[in-house]
Amino acid sequence: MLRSRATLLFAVILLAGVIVAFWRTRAPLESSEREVSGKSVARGTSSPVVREKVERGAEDPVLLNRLSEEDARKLALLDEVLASKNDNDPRLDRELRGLSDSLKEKLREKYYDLAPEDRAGRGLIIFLLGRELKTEEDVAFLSEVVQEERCLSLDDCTQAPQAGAIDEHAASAGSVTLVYPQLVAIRSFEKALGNPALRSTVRAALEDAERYGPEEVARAAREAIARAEKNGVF
Amino acid sequence: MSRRIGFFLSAWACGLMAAIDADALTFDRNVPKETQEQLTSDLASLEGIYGATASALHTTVFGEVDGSVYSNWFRSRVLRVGYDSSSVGGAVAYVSPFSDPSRIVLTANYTRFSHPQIARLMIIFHEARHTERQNSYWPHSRCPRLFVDEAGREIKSIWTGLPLAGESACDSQIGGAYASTVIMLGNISLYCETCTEKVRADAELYARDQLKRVINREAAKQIKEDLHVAL
Repeated sequence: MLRSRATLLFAVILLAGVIVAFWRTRAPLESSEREVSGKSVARGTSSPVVREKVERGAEDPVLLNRLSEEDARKLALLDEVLASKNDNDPRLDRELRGLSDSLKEKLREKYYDLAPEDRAGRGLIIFLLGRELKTEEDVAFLSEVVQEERCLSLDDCTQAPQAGAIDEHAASAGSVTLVYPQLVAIRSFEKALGNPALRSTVRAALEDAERYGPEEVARAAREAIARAEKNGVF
Repeated sequence: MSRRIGFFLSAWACGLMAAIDADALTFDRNVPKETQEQLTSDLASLEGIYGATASALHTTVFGEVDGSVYSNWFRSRVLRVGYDSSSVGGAVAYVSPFSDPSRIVLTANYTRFSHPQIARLMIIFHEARHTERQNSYWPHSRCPRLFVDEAGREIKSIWTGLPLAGESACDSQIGGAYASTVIMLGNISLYCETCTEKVRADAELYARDQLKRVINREAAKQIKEDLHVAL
């Protein structure tokens, strides 16, 4: 009797051990599945820079979205700021600097995850990426954003408002907000002209923006080039 | 004895807090909680602003570059906040100067549209300027028939692609609602020491755009000189 009880107890413990072991091996598998499904969102974007990265991602550990603890913390902080809509949160300057390549990649994906109508959210991401332009790839992504089709309405970027439906006085701030991420990118380019290593790439990006960007963005690019010429940057 | 003193001090502090709260904005009953919270949060963020320097025009219109100065300026003009559930026309806020000048009305777009924070603040300070009875509510001017930028290109509405010429969406006075927010944002951009880099950059971006609405050349020139042609 006693022996059979001991056997039963042993069997229960063994079974519990097997379940725990199975669960532990399964958990990372599930999380990697989540990563893959996360990438499928990015694959659906119109971004060549992000899409190319995702396709190469299988071989590149940096691009497997394996964020370090530090990067994950920064990403969580960004989500917090996005939710609070408080652009004067000092942590933006104190903590959201020195972005790693993995985090930059994550932010590029996040840009396309946000709805196109979330102009402020998208603009914040471009601001963070734009103040750390270091490589041609960094410039290429912003250049892609600058040449996006213009958002036609803050209600729905794909639908132009009906003629006469806009009160020009009351909606004056909206004219900037519609192209806000693009204007933030242009400003980042203008600042990056001060970096001799990137100057020619950035100048080319500004010239592309002037040629191919929406009218308001093209004007901002033209003005940025004019200011740089006036200040003897070129 | 010391307990009693402590009790009275606490009671006095509570009374003081209540008095301060009485100065808080009064919201109409129909203002959604989300809208109230967003406005309160935006104004609270503004109160953290400080800069040791202010331009001459800023000193005339607002005073120092200081959150409490902005807050007092706003609260001395706007006593009540109403709500309009309509989102037609792209309006975010408005004031009806002739019927209820001390009441600002926020529309559903205040929280629905994704404007950066400085743009929301710019809009409500613009509207607050329209509450000033002693200045005839700072009426706008019609944008000129030939409304062009410095390069001679016609300025168009980004919404409709149509020329802004003839729209009542410009200022010819240096203290007007567009002009005064250019001065405010220009100073935040130049002198705010407690602002994030983003707030300063956004302030410059929106000020630069709003300056285009100041059509009196002399007024625009004065503003540019005041801001050291930062825009």
